Amino acid sequence: MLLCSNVYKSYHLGERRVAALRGVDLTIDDPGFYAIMGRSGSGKSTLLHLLAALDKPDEGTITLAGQRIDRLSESQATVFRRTQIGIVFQQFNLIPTLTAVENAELPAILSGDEPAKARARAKDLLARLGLAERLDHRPDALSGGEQQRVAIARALHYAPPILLADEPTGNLDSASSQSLWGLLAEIAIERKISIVMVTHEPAAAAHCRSVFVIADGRVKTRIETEGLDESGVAARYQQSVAAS
Amino acid sequence: MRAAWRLAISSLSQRPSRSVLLLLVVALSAALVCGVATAMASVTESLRSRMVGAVGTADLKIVTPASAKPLDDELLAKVRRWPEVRAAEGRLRAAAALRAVRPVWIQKDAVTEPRRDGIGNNASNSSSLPRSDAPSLPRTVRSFAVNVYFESFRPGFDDVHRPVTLAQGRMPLNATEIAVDQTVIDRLRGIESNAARRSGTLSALISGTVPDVEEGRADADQDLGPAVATSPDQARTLQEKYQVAIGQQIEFIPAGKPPIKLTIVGIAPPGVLGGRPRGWMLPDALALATDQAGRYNEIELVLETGANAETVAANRRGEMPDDAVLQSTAKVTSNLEQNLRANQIGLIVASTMAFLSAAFIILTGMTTGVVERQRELAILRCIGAARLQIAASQIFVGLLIGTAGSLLGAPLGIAIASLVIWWFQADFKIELAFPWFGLSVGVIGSIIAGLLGAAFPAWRAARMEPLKALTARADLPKRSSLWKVLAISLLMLLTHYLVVTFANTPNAIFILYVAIALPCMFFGYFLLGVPLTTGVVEVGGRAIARLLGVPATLLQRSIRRTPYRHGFTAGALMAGLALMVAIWTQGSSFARDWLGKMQFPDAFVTGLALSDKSVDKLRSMPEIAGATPLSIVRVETSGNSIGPMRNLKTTFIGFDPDSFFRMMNITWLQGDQALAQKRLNDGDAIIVAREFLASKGLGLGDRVSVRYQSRSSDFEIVGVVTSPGLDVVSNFFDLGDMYVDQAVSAVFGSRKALRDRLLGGNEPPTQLISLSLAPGTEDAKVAADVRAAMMEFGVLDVGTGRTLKNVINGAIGRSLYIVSAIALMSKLVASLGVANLIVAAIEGRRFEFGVLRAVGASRWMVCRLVLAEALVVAISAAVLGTLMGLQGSYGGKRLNSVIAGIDLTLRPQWDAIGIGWLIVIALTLLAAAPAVIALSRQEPRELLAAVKG
Repeated sequence: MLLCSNVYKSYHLGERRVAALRGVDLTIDDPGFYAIMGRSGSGKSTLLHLLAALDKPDEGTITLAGQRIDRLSESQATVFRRTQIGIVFQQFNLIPTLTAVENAELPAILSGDEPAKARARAKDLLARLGLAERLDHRPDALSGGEQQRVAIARALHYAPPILLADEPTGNLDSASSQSLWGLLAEIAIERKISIVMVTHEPAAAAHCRSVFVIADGRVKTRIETEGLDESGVAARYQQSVAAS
Repeated sequence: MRAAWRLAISSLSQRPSRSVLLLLVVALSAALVCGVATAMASVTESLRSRMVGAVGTADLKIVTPASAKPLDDELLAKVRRWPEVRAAEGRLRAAAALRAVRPVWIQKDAVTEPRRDGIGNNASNSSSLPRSDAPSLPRTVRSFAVNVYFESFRPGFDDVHRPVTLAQGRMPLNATEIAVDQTVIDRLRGIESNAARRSGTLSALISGTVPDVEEGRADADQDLGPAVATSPDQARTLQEKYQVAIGQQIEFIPAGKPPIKLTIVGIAPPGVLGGRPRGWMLPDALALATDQAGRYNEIELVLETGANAETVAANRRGEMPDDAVLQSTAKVTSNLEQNLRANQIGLIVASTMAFLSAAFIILTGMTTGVVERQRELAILRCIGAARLQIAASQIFVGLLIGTAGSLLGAPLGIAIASLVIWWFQADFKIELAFPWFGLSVGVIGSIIAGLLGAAFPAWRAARMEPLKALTARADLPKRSSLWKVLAISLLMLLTHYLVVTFANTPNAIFILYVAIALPCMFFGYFLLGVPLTTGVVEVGGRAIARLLGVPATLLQRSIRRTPYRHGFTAGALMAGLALMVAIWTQGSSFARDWLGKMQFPDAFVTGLALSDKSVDKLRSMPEIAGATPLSIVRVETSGNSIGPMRNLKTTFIGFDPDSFFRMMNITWLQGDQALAQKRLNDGDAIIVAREFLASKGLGLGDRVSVRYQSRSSDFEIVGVVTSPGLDVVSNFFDLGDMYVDQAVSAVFGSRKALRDRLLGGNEPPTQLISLSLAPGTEDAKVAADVRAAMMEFGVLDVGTGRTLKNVINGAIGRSLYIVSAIALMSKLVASLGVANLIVAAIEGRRFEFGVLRAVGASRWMVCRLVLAEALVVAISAAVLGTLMGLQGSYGGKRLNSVIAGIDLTLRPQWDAIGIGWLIVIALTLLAAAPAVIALSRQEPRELLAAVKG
């Protein structure tokens, strides 16, 4: 399903050249909820951006749903992001002047789909995410958690095989965060998709099936979390980071 | 594209106040353009209708402009025999005085203001109200006279081919009847209306008290009413009953004959745009009254169906007597159409500048919006919005703003113009005309302004890399880009300077100015606004900060962070001030260096064909020290100066050199008066005014070819003089040949030369008599005495040089105020751009302001910081506007010099500039005020909450 092979990526920061990724190898074969964890500056966001076809690696290959996304042209990448990937960001997810249902149907509008079908699909997704009563509310009338669920509904509009989330609970309180992590885990199972979440919180990772620990631009460890609670995940994570 | 529309609507509704501001910018710009276009079109159509009224609808005309030999019955009979001619009639013109002798019970000065109630003013406004304490009011008998321009009217023919629109009554049907226009009626009632004062003529009515008819005058049978009115009410009623109106008799004053009584049967509305008082009589009656039996000024021909006017004119031209010209009426009106088309070029240029200003404001506003919505746009790109969709959404925003602005602005502009025309209706009879061309310019210009303004933001939004936008940090613009902008702007300004300085032929300078110099100047100053605003804040930032009590560092950094936004806003604001500076500098230079240096005659008398007897009569008056007759003929001149010179329309003013130089006080710039006078008397030389020298490059010793109709003759220039203003007088009173052939500059030669070398031996008519006054004479008294003395000689007008100068100065002054009003409106439009900038600045920095408040800054300090930024923009705009206005004045000076030969010395009008600065600063601060007041009401936690999505 997702295969990163020997991926390198560097960029300029002022006068300096920074090597963000130095030979990342990452494989996800089965659907599920996965986390990428690492310290600040470890390259986890860079990796997520590459997986989202927002950028291209300097070297290496990235295959997603059978397609080499490192070779896509700009316009191909745009369409790919619309239909094959779902993305949820930490903040500024939603268009402020659109209602919840209008935000959720946005990918279909961008594709030029029939409006009625797009609306129906968006409503259905929002209802499943517990927002049936909030369809006509604008983002400023929604809580942080509700806004993120609208963003998830939008991301799932075309039922992509993979959903990428960049610290989606960064602006939420702990209760909302727990709720959101649980929701993502459920979605991954129900829809049989892969959800890859970048996070620095062990509590989030505890909801995931596996955790990829990234350090110094490489995937150092893959932690299988079955049987581990939050503190167990945290401990394994700390060990992994210390060892690197 | 549906997605792009959705995004466009979303973008507009996200910041409704700013969207409305941008909409208003376009709407007001459209209103300005459409309003000016409507006013211009209305004046143009009025001129055109006046022209059509003067020319008529006959197919061909035979005219003898400026020749002493009129057309006659023999020629009329000849053309009637042409098979292609269905009908032909002669037309006679004359100038004469009309007089009304009327009883008056209400005593007041003859000169009063009429009410603004249009045609047929009744007597209640012809004089003041009677003194209410007067028990009885005795009657006096007064006469009021007015100089009138007469045309013959032949019933049947002229009803079709030159109809006169009447407000009351009918056209004359017999020799004792007359039709006149409302101006004549007003004058004969003793009313000197605003129209008369402001029109091209200086006519003042002649008013005097005549002995009561009971003392045995010839018209003792005239009913004058009771000798005393017993009450003010009765006086008013009597005054109204005996007022000049349809059915009443007036007197036609012929030369050397008893007055002719005529009955008024019709009253026409006043002439459009003022103009001379007019009258109409049957041809035979007019001929008899003016001793012109069997003579005509022109003959009009109506052709049979299918005959082509140009072909007939070409075929029959050879059969015309000397100096008679056969031409189609279409050709006659083509000159006017050419002149009127030139006005459209001016409208396009002005509209382009107005809409470019609007486009820049939209560009600044929308680019600010794109920057603010950077993350949102990045998210859209992340979830799959294509670049084209993002770009298209911005273009659609521009399209919506432009279209909505035009729909709002065009009707508003028409409404404003209608209001102005209605307001001046009593003074200038102008009919509202819809300028389809101008409206199209307004509507299309609005839409293009919106699209142009959106183009850069669309490009910027489309090329945004989503990744960079998501992780965007505050980047200060590079210094190198500011230097580049400075270099480009200076290059453009230099281009303007070089073009206007080195283009030295009329065509070249006009075309290069419109196509290259003006756009370069405009864009150059716009771009200069960016580095200049940065410079102003660097140099003056501390002073401004201290003045407003804000930290200088904060002020300077905020301007430096967004120099383009602030700079372009200053650019948009500068245009109005630049226009004002240019107009006032040039206008005052014009008044001082051109009009001020003009040496008008002390006084003058104008007419269609004044006789030698009128000159003798003037010379016999004690107030008149000298009188010299002048002939005005429109010619064409050509000669080699710098390269071949095309034929140019010029006025040839013919005079008697001996009396002319004795009387006129002119300064010789080149040549010697004694030698020149001799050569002028010989008849093979001319003298020219300095404008001729300046614009044509021809001076002492050069030869000029002068052409009149089919005759051409070479003259040597024997002197260059300061302008005696006679060409201005002749243009002012529409003397010389007809049909709006406005001549640029004049040449002066003897009447002998005119007669022998250009008019084929025919004596040139006298249209102007220049007078020198005896010392100690008063202008007003002289004018009244001369008018009274000339009553029987068919004069059109009498005036003094001083009065004429005052009238022209007044016209220049009014023009300056009208243009200043347009400049003010332009500033108002631009101030909306300032408002948009301030709102955007506040919205984009709410968190920053929240932090300032949180660390202890008062709400007023934060507000003053925003006002300080506005003040920096205002000062930058004022500097830009002043510089652009002065550079524009230089361009105007060069245009005047090369095209019209008028050399101006530019002296900036610092008082007008100062007022302009104050207006710019005041408008800017006022525009910022609402947003600043709203900011002052927000608490720190509200401002800090802005960081959340």
